[in-house]
Amino acid sequence: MSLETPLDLLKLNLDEKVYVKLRGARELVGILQAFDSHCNIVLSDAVETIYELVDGELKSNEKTSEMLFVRGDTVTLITTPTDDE
Amino acid sequence: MSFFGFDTSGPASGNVHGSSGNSNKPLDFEDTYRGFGEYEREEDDYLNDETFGAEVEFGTDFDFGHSNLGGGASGSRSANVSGQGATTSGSYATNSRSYAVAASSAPVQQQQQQQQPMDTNLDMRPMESLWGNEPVQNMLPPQLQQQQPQQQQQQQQPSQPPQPPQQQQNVMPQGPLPGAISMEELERQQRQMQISNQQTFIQGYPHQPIPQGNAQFGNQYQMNMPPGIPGQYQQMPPQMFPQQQQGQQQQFPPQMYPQQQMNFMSQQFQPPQPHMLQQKQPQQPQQQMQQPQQQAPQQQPVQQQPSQQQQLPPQQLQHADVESLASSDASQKYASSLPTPPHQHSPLYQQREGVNQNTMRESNRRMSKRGEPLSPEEQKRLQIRQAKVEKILKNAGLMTPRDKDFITRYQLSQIVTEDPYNEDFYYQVYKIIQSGGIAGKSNKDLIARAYLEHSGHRLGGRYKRADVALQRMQNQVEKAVTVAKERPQKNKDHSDIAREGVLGKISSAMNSKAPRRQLQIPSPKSGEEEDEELSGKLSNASTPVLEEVTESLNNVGISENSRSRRRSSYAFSSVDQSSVLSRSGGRKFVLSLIESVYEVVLELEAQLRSGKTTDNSSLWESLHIGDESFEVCPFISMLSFDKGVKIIPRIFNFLDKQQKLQLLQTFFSELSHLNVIIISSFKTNPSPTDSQLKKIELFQAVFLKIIVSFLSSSANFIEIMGLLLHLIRNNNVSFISTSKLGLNLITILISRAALIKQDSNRTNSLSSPDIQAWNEVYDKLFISLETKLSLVFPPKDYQDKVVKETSSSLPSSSSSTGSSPQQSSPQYYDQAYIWQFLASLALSGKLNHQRIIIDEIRDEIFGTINSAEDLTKANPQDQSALYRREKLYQDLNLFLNVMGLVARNGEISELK
Amino acid sequence: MSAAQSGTTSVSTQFLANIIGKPVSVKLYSGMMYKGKLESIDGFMNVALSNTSEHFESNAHMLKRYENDVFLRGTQVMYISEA
Repeated sequence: MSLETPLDLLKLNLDEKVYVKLRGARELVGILQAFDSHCNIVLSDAVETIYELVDGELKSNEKTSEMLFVRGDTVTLITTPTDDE
Repeated sequence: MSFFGFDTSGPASGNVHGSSGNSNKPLDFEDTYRGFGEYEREEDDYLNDETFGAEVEFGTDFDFGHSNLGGGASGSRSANVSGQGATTSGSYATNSRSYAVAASSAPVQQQQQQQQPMDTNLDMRPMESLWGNEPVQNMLPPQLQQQQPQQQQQQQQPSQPPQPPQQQQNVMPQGPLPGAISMEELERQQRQMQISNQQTFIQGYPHQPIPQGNAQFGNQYQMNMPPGIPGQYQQMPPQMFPQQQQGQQQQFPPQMYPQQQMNFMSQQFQPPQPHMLQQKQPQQPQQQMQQPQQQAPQQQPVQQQPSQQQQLPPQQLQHADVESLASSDASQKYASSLPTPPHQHSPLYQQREGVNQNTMRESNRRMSKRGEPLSPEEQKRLQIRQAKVEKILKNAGLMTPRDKDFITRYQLSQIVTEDPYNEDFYYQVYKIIQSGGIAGKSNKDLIARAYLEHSGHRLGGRYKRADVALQRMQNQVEKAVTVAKERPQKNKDHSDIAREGVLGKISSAMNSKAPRRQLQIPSPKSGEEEDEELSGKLSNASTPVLEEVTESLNNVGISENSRSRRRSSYAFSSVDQSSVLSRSGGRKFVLSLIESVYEVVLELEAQLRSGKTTDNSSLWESLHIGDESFEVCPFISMLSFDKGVKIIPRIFNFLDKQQKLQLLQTFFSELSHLNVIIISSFKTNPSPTDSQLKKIELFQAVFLKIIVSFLSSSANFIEIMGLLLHLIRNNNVSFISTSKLGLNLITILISRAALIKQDSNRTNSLSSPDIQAWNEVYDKLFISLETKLSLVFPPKDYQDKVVKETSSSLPSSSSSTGSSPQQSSPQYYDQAYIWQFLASLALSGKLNHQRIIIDEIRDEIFGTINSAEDLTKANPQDQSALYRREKLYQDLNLFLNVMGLVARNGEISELK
Repeated sequence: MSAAQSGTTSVSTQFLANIIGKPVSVKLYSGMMYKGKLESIDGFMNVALSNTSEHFESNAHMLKRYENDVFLRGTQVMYISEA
């Protein structure tokens, strides 16, 4: 583990479940299949959660996909989820 | 001259182009064009007399007054012509000729020139009027300008080149100098002509009469241009000046525009050249001095200022030249007569040497006007020289030196040939024509074939040159390709050169694949030490639970090392791999290990594919199997990740037997730390999630297969014993047994050992010490399991949960309503593995072992029978129940049969 | 500035090299603030933190805690501050 860039560390998460935060109050959870330096991401068995403020109330909406490609410029954060998520 | 159908036979040949059908000027045409061919042929100054006074009718309009200078008759004719305002090319030529004549004779005084060089005056006139510097006294200029068609212009332009030389010839002083204009000067002029390549291309068309006139006009115009002419004029070729200046610009510029532009461009391109020209053309300035002198009087009204400007630079150069020609007076007078700025002349100067000549003529004229500093002989001499130079330079500037070099080389290549006849296309065609008939189809084919043959397909000697040429071409192409390849690479390298910025280097690479790094962070201090410390801290943490466990294990014969491990195995109250991971270097570390293992495996597989021998030392190192630096072997932690598990079969491909054995030993030693074990044990994970169960399944599928294959293929009895011992010594076997996976693993080992033992009974392959050892191991195992055997049966609720999870995970799974009776697995917990374990355990045990087993699991035995019976009691016809009942009996009997018992229909009886 | 620069690095990059391993606060353009130990950083300002807590705008009122490493995309990073 010498001088690994953040992306190298991200590489360790390949084939693992990751939690991705996106712009626009969206979250993704899925198994990280691929990524690149732009943070384009491919997730399998992905669940997208969209948070919205509806009539002053926080609501969330979920979408699932078997295989999902995420364009990198919307990604803000990537981590591995604690298993309770 | 065969161009334009021009008959070069003599002046009598009418010029088609020039004639615009003006019947008024037939004579003019003849006069104009007469002797044009002669001019062309003229190499010496034998026409000097004609030019400079002898009664020789030149009658061509491109003399620029040379002819008029020579002959009054011609001058009168031209005067008539000009007087009538002939706009024909003839008249134009006449005018130009007269210009030259005028320039050579009496440049300044219009009146003087009107008579003798009437033409010149007339010729001069238009140019001057065009330039608007002096009032046009003669009718010629306006007439000329009005009537000159565009064609004439075009013709005139190309005709300029030929004219000047002709004019020069005409203007050559009739004195002793005709021959005195040395070859040196001519050569110099030629050289200069070669330098100024751009000027002549437009004027290359050898329309003799017109060029002459044009040259004259051009010279004049060029002279006039710089000073008083707006940029337009300057852009126009000299030929255009007269016409344009007098309002016909609209007509001419469109047509002439490209040419003008070209001229202009050429002019622009050669700003230095005129100076060079001026310097290198001593003769021309002199000639121009003569010419301007002659022409000046006519052109003065229009051209004084421009001419002055034009003349200045030449004058400046001419100074040296004049001196060299011993006509310093002329030069001085030039200088005085041309006070206008010289620079303006320079762009125009380039256009034609005729320009120089014109200026010279103009200056000559002026000089003569002011007292004739130049003797007529000298003037004539200069003019002759000028004519020669013009003639030589008629087509100068059409080719770049490169072009000329190319042509020369090509010509030489044509000359230098081993097979001159065969390599000569024309000769081949000629041969065909000669041999064959007249033009016929077959002949054409032959000719075409000859062409093809000549062009590319050669034989023998021909091929040599072609091959060489081809090779050379290929080489060049290769060079070009390599250069082209290197260029972008070089550019890449250059583009990657980082530029300094506040934030460090800023790369300029425009690469979308690798977005340019804007920061270059120097090697940061390693944070690994901190990680290790952290991991150490975690490992040292001890909880009360751990302490209890430690004490409870005190009586168990386990090593000190494993004690701590086992301690921790009891302490997993929550199912998380973090503690295990942290004790094996950290999650990141383990993941990076997995990545490195993947890399190694991929590389080895690639090597295998390519047939090379593989070196698995790097693989073994990457596995960190023998790594004692961590409390928990990193390899074990690797197995807690799915991707680590998946790579195991591929790793096994590359490991030798010893390594595999060691791997399994490590595996069995640290079984308790295996994540899958932890999560598969109902003790530590009473509520497994679906993902966890999947993980267990994955592991089981992968590992059990490997172990079984390994054991059956390459493990001997002793090794199996060793593995069992590892397992027993370093783990809480009871705990392991609570996990399906663990139980399966134990079962594998035991059954394998039993199998070998059974075989050895027949074959006596096992020595008594082996059997002894096996008995000891078994005892140990039994002891560790004793009194806890019932634990191998998971509690009901656990079974239910598992069933529920597995059933819910199945897409087509039926709910608890049981819509799919045939699916047995989702409906109940398959305990077959348990019975298998018990069976193998009983098999290897002695009678009292078996008794103990039965004692401990008696409840389970009867419970199974009862549940089996209950199944069919409720619904005897229920197929699924029947099936399940059968299965229950089967599983149970697996175990019972070992002991000679069998369960049937709710009863246990002896197996017979 | 020139005195501070040595060779190819500048003050800024030196700073980034020095804070690795230290607790930092990273603010994104969205206003989210992440406080954790700086594990790694690269030239694009991508950041990897460990033991991260998530806040909004300021370090008060933790929104979420991340146990594992957090990767923050460089293009979204407003600043990195030593905390």
